[in-house]
Amino acid sequence: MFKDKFKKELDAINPSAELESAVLDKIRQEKERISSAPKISYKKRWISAIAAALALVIVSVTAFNLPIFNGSEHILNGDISTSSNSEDLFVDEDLTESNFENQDQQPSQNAPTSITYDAAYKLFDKIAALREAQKDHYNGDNTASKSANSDDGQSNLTDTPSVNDTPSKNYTETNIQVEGVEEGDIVKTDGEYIYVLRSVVNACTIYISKATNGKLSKTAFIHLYHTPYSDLYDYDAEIKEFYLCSNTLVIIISAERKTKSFEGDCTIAMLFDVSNPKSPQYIKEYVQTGNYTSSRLIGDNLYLFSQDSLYGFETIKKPDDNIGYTYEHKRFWQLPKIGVDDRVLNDIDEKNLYAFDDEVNLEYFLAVSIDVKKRKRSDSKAIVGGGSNVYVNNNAIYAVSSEINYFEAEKEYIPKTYIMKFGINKGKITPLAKTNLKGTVLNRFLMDEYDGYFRIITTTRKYRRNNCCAFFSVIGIDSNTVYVLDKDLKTVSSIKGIAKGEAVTSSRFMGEIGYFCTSPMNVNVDPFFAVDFSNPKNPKILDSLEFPGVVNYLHPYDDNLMLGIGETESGKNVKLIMFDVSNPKKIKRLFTLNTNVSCAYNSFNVSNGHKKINILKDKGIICFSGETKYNIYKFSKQKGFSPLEKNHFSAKTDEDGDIYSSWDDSIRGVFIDDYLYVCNAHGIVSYMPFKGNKKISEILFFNYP
Amino acid sequence: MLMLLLNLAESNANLSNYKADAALAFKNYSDTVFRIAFLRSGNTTDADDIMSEVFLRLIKNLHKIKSEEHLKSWLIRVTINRSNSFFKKQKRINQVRIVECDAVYEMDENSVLPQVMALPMHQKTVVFMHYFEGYSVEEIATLCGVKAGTVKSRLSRAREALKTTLKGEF
Repeated sequence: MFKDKFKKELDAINPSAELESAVLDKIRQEKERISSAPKISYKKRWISAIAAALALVIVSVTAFNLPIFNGSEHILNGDISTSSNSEDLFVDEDLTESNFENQDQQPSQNAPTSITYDAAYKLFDKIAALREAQKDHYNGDNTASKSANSDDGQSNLTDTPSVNDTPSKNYTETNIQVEGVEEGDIVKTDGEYIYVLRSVVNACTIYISKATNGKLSKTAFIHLYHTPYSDLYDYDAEIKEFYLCSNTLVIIISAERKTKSFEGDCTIAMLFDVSNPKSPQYIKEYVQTGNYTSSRLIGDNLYLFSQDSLYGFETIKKPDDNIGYTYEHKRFWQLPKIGVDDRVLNDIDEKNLYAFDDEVNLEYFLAVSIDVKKRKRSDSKAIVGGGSNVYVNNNAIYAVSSEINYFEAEKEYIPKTYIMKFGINKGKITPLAKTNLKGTVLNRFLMDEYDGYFRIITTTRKYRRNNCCAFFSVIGIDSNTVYVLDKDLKTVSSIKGIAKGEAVTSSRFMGEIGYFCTSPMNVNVDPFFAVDFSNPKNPKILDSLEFPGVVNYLHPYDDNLMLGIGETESGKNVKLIMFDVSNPKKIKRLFTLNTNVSCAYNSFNVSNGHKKINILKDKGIICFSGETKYNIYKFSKQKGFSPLEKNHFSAKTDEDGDIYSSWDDSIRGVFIDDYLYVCNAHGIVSYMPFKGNKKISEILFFNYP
Repeated sequence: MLMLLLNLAESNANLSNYKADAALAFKNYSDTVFRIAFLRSGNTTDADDIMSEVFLRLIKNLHKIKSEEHLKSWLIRVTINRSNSFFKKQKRINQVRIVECDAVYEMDENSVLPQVMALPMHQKTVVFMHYFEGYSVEEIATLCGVKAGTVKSRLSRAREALKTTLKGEF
């Protein structure tokens, strides 16, 4: 569908007749000019050039006794000269060992082991051979093991994602999944200054504005291309999100770069001192290879995750008798790298490189921890295998990826989900265990750890590959499965075959009870399920409740109420639902409101969709971003949902003269006291929403400073 | 030894009988070149400039073209390079450009092209080359001068972005 539409629309884009005529004239003029110039035989010129080059080579070899280097052999044998061996090795002062006394976590019996570079390359060769032979070494049916004994002190009782406590701060913070585990965002405030990311092509900038009683004033800005190492950035470099911590602005950047030691995707954490927001000071940046996956901030420790392929392709131009030349792609192995600035990246230390013997993926997952307060990298661990969805709580990282085997997908294919667990403790990262399960996982809200047990919900979809191996079509949904895994990721129990023909659309866990919604393809009707996990060996569905519409995001409002935000039955507008979960065996739908806010730009269950939502119990309001407006609804337990008298607050739009825009042109609303600041890539507008929607003040980023 | 190598060079020069013609190339491929330039620049004015530059370069490099397939690849590669240089120059100047476009293309609320246009540069290029021109990942890697893994990750990120903005269309 997309391909046909795209082709049709682009077919209509053509050069104008005037331009065509002008270019053809130029071609004619140039031809005439060339034909009237003195002729030099191209053949003779080519032969002369080759002769000169050969002469130079012969002289060089004879006079200087230089070896002839066979580049392709060097690559194929995996004998790569990495920057670890080069003479200009940059000494990374941040690689000195952090003191992690008493922070060791006991890995499971099936934990990965660190491997040497030679062993890593042999493993990669082995995996490549396996994939070529189209074998799958995983056994997808984890047999249920005996339940784990009471924990040995290593798996602590985890705080469950708590319901919203009344915030002690007078300003809004980012809506997060797990209490105590901060998440990056595109807008942040400290109650005095508002930081907004403008992420547009060629112009990634963070704007800092002072906000005082609704009045806005320009303070400073940080432009990505004005930072010390920006000459290494490709112009597609992008700021993804940022954090505010200990008077430090931590900016997360995704960039492609080409240096002496590396070519490819990198993830960068760039630190600025903002103790004086009027004059942000660049501190340093930490670079790691790989595409940016996710990050979290726990206390002062930033955990940054990236992933990429373990190989690259060398493109070699070879002569061809028929067409003159052809290209050959030779694969070479490439290890994950880290660095302090962008000039030199070093292969990760062997003692921090891990793999399972039976790994079948040629990707790596790289986790790096940075102490933001001490401005020092604490730890880094890379493991062979992927991890595109990451669930993090205060003790552990679960990196989850779903893989489709390209070679098998001509017939119906059911992908697997691979899970890797790392323990974390004040910056120390320890690979602990891994497993795989049938099905795919929608997002990280379908995962949770409680009392040492990991709960996860997968959906089994059938896929078939399309003509090229670049994408797949879903040809049907089978059902959903709830798994309970122990601290070693062994399956303790499961409930299979839930909601046949439907896929999970949202989930949230509250201690021993888990809640989720499912929906069939292309039909907006949801059942809402409650599952009892109090006995990990025997989870039970307590109740299910059907209702029209789809819930894309679930949020515990308090101990007895669960808020659902999603779509109406027609799929056109945003729907709010409040469920009574005081008795999970008999869940009730208390209140429903079909809003007049369009769903077109409200995908709350995509990776950062939940950050568009703010639930402010102290103010009795539920807020969420739309396409161009921030929307506010009141909620009371007695009366349910109702809009504020004026409840749609406009953000700045691109009619203000800026032609650049980003596809992720999201809006955020932040409250400081009773003032609302609606922020997006174009500027900030302030309101006092409880007194109407009249604009108090605004700032346009286009003409900063 | 040297004479042997020179003879080999001469014989290679005779093997390809293909002769590229600039006017014919313009007739066959100006749309492709213009569309790449349009996607990367976002407006027809800049696309015009880039296209003119590409075909003027072709005239000076006709002797290097070995086949029809090579011609198309060459044109695509040079268009990408030319638009790179174009934007690097803009970045150094560090100005926001207000461009008056001399053509308006009608799009409705269900159009997909605006969402593709809003993608980052590299992503929309691979989307065009894959979905419109039908090149494989390896072919795109050769044309863009990057690893196949890079092309895959750009396609993957573009699809993620388009899934969010196009919803049921993708």
